[in-house]
Amino acid sequence: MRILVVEDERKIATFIRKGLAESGFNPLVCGNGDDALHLASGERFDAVVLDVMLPGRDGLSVLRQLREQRNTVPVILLTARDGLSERVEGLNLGADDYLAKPFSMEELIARLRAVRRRLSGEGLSVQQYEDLTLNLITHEVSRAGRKIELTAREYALLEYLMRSPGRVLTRTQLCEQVWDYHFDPGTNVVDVCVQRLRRKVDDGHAVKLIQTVRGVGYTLKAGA
Amino acid sequence: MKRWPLRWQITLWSVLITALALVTFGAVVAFNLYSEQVELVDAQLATDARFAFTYRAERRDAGPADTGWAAALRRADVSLYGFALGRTAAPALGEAHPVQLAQFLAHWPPQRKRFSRRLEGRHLRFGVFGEGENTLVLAASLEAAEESVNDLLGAYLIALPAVLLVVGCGSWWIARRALVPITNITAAAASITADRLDQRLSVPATEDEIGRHIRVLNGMFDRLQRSFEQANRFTADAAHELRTPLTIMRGQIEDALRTGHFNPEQQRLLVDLLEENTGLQKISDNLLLLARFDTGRSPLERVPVELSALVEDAKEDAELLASSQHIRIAGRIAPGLRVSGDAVMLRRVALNLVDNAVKFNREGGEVSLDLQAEGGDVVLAVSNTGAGIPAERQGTLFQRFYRADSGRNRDTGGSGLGLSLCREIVTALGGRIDLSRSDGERTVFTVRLPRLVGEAGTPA
Repeated sequence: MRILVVEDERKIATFIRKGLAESGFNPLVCGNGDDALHLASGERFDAVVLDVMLPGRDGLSVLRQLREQRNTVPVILLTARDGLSERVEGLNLGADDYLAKPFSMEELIARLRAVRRRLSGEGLSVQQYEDLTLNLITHEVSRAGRKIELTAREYALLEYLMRSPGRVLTRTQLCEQVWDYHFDPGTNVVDVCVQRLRRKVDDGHAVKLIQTVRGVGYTLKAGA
Repeated sequence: MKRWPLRWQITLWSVLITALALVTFGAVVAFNLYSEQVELVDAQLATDARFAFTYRAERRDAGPADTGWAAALRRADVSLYGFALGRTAAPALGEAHPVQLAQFLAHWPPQRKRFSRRLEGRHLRFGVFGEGENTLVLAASLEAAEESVNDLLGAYLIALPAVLLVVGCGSWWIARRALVPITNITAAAASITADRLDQRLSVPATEDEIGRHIRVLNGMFDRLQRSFEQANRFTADAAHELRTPLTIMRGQIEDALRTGHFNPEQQRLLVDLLEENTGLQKISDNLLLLARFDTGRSPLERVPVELSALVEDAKEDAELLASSQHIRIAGRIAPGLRVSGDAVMLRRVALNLVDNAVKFNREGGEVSLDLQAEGGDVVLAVSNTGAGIPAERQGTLFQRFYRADSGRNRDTGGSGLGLSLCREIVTALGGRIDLSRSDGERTVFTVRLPRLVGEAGTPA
């Protein structure tokens, strides 16, 4: 999957490229809006990761030009966290998704996978990992055909884990994504929630899906 | 000392000064009038004396006993009281007055030529006249002179209160008129608050004191607005500038955690760094948000939000947070209550209150979340059974960077922006947040938001 990454900050561009490459994407990095427009107009990309704040032509202008050229390549905008107006404008201009800086690589990868699923016409509403299925519309979760009742937070946690199977998600990432709130360091709200989720998902099954990665966080992965 | 209003001070001083001026003026006029009257009496005495001497000269041989002149003077209706002729130490007295003039006059002949003296209850003017060896003393009553002065003073006393009343009313009116522009300026300046700093007082066309005053005030508002905007811009810029390095740090730490091979010690270090990084990011986000609020442009979305569901989630979070402290979670959440607002921000408010309620609770206590409709409002009450907030600190609770216990360390502290941000958010959505109770038993925070009703499919 060929991805155009438009990001002027070299170090950010570097870890995005590295992270995408590790996850099997094929990223191409470019540092300004004019080059980005040129590249995107000339070559075929599966998705564009577009920073809004760019020297010269800014991200929103690149997006507008692309859409005016009838280029429908999926675009994920990287916006300021507080940029409500640019977010709204971006989505109005035809952005497919947005991500507020600073973001976690896992999140970007999950968004890109969602874009890929949309492109390939895979079932959007149902996510599956091993014998665990999760319906994004009805919020129904079942394992091996048996329905599991989850609370709102447990569901949000599981949905986030299922978006990036096999990747280790830190407590910070989980907390940010599921709660969008910065609890004091030392609060074990994430651990408690994971334990409860694990009890509901893994108890009574030989294959455990929710794994603890000691000292780092959690991952969704089939194991003992 | 509490001072009187300026208008009353001006009036009072005007009246006092006018009274002083009138009294002084009256005294001077009365004194002059009296002196003039006395001079008239003196002139009369001199005329009489001339007559007496002429009379004596015509009857040179008659001897000192002849007091016909005195009778003549009395007939001419002149106030004549006594006389002495000759150089004798005890002069003969005329019949016109029975008083022993010599006894009254301590030294004979008198040293002063004209003098006033009180005699037998009457105020008299004496005149001493000499011609050759003869000395003549005449006295006339000063009653007429005193009467005219008294008449004048009486008229003054009657007029004074009336004049003072007129002056008082006049100066009160003038003071009020003069102070009207100042009163207007005060009202206008009071309406220029932090979120309306771009407003100015209207400058009158005249170049008087008031005009200058307004110009000076407007200049001050200019400077105030500039520094306010600078502070605001600085906060926003700083938060913006922090974003890139924070993004880089976070990306690199996550990258290292994902791909590197570390021992558990190093791994924990990296996870801690990540935690601190997001903490820093949250502070900078909140500062930016507060800066946005300060510019008066609300950065919040206004969409229908089902507060009931949101509070249910917060209740679950309370359970998760409290799981290790044996804190009971209670409360009743009425279903289907909606408000117009920003779901992300409202969730932050609810979580902040819940987080605090658990954090500042006692072991084995209770946290209660109650949501209900009250009139046109939706009211969320989050209470805990902690030690309570000291009374002297309740007033500053919603201020920025405030923490109930200033000695508290970061382990339970947070950035101190929590409650101030909650208040900004709730206020921006047309509601209010209050500490409605805090004693040793229970501490209750209440959020009140306008309820959103109507629209199909909502159980009201």
